[in-house]
Amino acid sequence: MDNLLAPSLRKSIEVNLGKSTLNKIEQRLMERHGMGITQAIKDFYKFDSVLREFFGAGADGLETKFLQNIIDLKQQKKGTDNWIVIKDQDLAKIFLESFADEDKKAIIGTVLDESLIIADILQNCKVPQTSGYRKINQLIDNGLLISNGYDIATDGKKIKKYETIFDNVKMDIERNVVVVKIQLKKNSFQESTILQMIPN
Amino acid sequence: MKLDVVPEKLGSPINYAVLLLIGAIVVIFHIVVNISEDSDALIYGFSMIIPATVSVFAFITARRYAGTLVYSRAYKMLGIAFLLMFSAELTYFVYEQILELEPYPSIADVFFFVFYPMVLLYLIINIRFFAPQITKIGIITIVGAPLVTTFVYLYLSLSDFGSFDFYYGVIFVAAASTTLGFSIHTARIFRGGLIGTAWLVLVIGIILDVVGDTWYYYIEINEGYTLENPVNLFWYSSYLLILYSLYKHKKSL
Repeated sequence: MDNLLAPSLRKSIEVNLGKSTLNKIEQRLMERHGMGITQAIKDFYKFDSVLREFFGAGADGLETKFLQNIIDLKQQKKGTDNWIVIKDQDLAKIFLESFADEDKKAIIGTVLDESLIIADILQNCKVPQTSGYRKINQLIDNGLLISNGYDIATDGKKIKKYETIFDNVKMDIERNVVVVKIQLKKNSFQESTILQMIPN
Repeated sequence: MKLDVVPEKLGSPINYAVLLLIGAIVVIFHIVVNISEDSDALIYGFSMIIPATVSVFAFITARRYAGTLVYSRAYKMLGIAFLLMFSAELTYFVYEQILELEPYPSIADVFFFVFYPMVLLYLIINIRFFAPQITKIGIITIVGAPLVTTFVYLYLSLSDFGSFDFYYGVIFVAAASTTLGFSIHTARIFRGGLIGTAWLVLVIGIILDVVGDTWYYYIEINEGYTLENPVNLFWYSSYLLILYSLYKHKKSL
């Protein structure tokens, strides 16, 4: 889940506090923890510690604001069964475009209920290999697919298996605004350090 | 060979030499204007240059963060606040030195007064982003600081109760001390952070401004303000400290 949110959080820092602030935070993350901002956001406690070094208790408001720009926190607090409402339009667009693409939709459908290695995904959804690999990689980069366990190949090598981060997705277009609601898989929700930061 | 060690914690300590320099500038200036025979031009010049410098520096900082939703807007508000302060000083100068009219009360007071809401906007923009939920201590600070300061002023000027100067002074002292409450609250938010030092310096600057304002309106009730009055020391050092805090903030982020 954090994979999916990281780019939007980065954008949020830049929009609110400017590129120079973002650069300083990135510089400190690199020298203190040896990681970039996208990586650190996935390890939210380290990201939080660096924000506190800069802004003291102001880091709390900053983090809440980031999340507010991306997820509807009011809905999130009320929500049950791991449903989250995506407010960020860039993030919503990723979902919309992924489901508009027949190949990607087929890939997602294949790993919705079970995790598979890439070769099996391509075989099950009957997508050409070259474009199939490219599209699976796009879904991984965008955070819609995550690695979940391994399969052992005949030569004994470990091969990553992939699955979707969600069980269900609902999409609406309300007054030209794309509203995406996703029901996260239980483990996706629990493993997201960002979502665990949301106060109850 | 000296190793370039990564610090455990980022720090931005106050440079006490700068504080000493600010203190020395205002004290030496005060002595000079009190021993020289025609010091009006010097005082007016100094009174206008400092807010103008703070305003220019705030606008430069706003430009550095151009397009951002928090810093760009906040620094523009601070720039406008000090531009108003400069306008107030200029108007005061025109009234007294060119038109030879009594500058208190005058249109200059409108500029002096609008300075406070603009500083408040600067603080509120920061608070809304970094700490939208105000704690109980925050509420006590925001409400308590203006109440205590205004009551101190009321107590000191009770002898003139009911006069124009009395009510006029209450309005200004209340406005100035409201900015104090908000700035203490904001400094508490950033305490311990890299930008916390900049905010601490800003609070000290605003405290000096509030002391200066309270004293000024007290003087206006009792004896009448003169350009050589030591109350100027508080305003000058306040603006120079605010300038230093802006520099520290800019350097930290």
